[in-house]
Amino acid sequence: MNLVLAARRSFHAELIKLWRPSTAVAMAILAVLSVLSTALLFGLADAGEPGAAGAGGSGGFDVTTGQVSTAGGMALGLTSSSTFTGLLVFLVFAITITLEYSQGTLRTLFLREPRRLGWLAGRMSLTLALTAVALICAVVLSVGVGYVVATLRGIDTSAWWSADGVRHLASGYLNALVAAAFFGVAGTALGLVLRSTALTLAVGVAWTFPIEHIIQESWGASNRVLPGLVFDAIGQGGVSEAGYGTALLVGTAYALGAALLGAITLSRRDVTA
Amino acid sequence: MTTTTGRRTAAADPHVPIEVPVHRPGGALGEANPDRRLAIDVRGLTKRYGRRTVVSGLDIAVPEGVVAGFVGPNGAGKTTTLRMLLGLVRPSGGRGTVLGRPLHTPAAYLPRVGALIESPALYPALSGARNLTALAVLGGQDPARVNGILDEVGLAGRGGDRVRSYSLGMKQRLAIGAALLADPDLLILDEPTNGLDPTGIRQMRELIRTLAEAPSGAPAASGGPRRTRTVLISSHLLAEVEQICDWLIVVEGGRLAYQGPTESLMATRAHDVVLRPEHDEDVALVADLLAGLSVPAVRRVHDVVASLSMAPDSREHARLLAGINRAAADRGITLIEISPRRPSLEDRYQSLVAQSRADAAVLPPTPVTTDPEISR
Repeated sequence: MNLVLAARRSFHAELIKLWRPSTAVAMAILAVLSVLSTALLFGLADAGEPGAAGAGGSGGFDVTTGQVSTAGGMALGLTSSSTFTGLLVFLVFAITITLEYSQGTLRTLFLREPRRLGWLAGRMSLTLALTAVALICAVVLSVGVGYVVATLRGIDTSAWWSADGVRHLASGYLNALVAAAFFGVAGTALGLVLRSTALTLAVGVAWTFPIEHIIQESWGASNRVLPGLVFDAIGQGGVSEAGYGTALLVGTAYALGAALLGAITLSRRDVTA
Repeated sequence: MTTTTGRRTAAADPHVPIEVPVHRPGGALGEANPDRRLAIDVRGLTKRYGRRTVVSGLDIAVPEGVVAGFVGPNGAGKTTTLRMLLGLVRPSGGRGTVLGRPLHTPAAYLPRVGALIESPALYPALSGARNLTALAVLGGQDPARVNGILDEVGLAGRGGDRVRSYSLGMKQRLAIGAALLADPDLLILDEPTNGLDPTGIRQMRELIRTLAEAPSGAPAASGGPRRTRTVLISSHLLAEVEQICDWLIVVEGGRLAYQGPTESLMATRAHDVVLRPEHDEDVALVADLLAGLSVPAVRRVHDVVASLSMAPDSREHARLLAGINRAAADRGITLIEISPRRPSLEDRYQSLVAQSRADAAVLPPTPVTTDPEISR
């Protein structure tokens, strides 16, 4: 009960702290990424039917105008940007938690709220809620820009507004949100363990991009084993090497493990910053 | 109530503990007020990092309502001790209470504690008022108090400005404002004057005095009980501590060197007396006179400083000075100044630290809590 109260207070306190320029900057970057991704995807789509070759999967930029015109076309922009969205969320979560250490504000916070896990729960709830709102904004922008680009290219978008189209968009949003949340949990856990912004970013980015992708080149199963690739697969609604169910299961296990690691680290470790 | 929690036996053999009476704060204060409660009462507080012991078996007892100074050299374990009291650092050993609640349950007592640890840690991109509001909401305090607190710490006109535009002194005051959000019964300030210029130090001293004198708790008009506020200040500035604090805790090398009323520490028997003749050429005669009386003395250009071992307010002391004055008059010397020189806290502190280091060199790591009235 005390933890719930602490989480609620933490949520409201974090809401007050959000009123700063960096929040707007992070949301703007997410919006720009989403818009840019959709504009490039739809603008550079090859002419062709939905089943035509050349489409490199649902998440690649290598799509055809036929694919764009299907009911799932509206969600293509969102899923294509999920990798970048995940990276951005990872960075934002990692930076904000490690800044609490480097600025020494963690001790100020824990002097007012010593129930650390309650504080973390409230903070994570707020940042994930903000991520959900930011992703909704990204979806709206992505659909708007996608519609404009498709119209300019003469692509028929009537299927987008069918029930099937809306369902595709909703599932695309949920997948992107789950992937972003898992990236966020991973970024927070890594930040809590390493406590240094530079180190967390270096380790996190190096692992998620070069290292995992190098391994991916030589090991086919990596898409359903390595955390960054698994989260990415969730965001794309599953990929050929890792079905959605498998990716969701493995991703959830990773996220729970990361959350547990972060919680233990935060609650057990001395605050010396 | 004076209790002895441990004794060490003096001996040439370093393996035999030296007996030193351990003074609990009931002694000097408690005789007049035996029911006086302790705001902080911890025993055997210890912190180890690997094989390195930073704080070793520290006993701290701070009575309610005092302004306590917590002093010691760099690396003595002051900040680590304060962090343990505030639940930021987990003790390796020890037990006790803070505001009557067990040390290992900081969530039970921290709502009644305000603290500033080391440098002020606030969000630079937020305004001062927004910083305090976020902390008030987090701690379950009423955010409506923020404006009043900004006024109390002298930041009423700057509350809307971003903290990154504040001077260090303003940040310190804002951090103290954050510590006041809970209207605390116990205020813990770690080096609150660190980095401040002389004006800032003076303002901070006045602020601390005001806070120490103000009772905590709900105002009488609201029907809530008013409580006594206790302040614990860690500082390097001994002159500041001497002016503000009526209780003193001295640590050295992670061990307790002294704990008790400041006046007890200062009430030492040994002191100096400055004897100044009317003419400088008589300085040598005064020095000879003192040598004849077997009084250790140092000759200076204009005067002689005599070192006396009796209490400055004793009859023996008065008789000796009268005798010196008469002897000087018999030799045709007029003394224009005979003034006892009270040792400063710095003098006493230096001797305590030296004593503690000497003890540490021959003793096993046992905490020593002493009061000069009893042991010196």
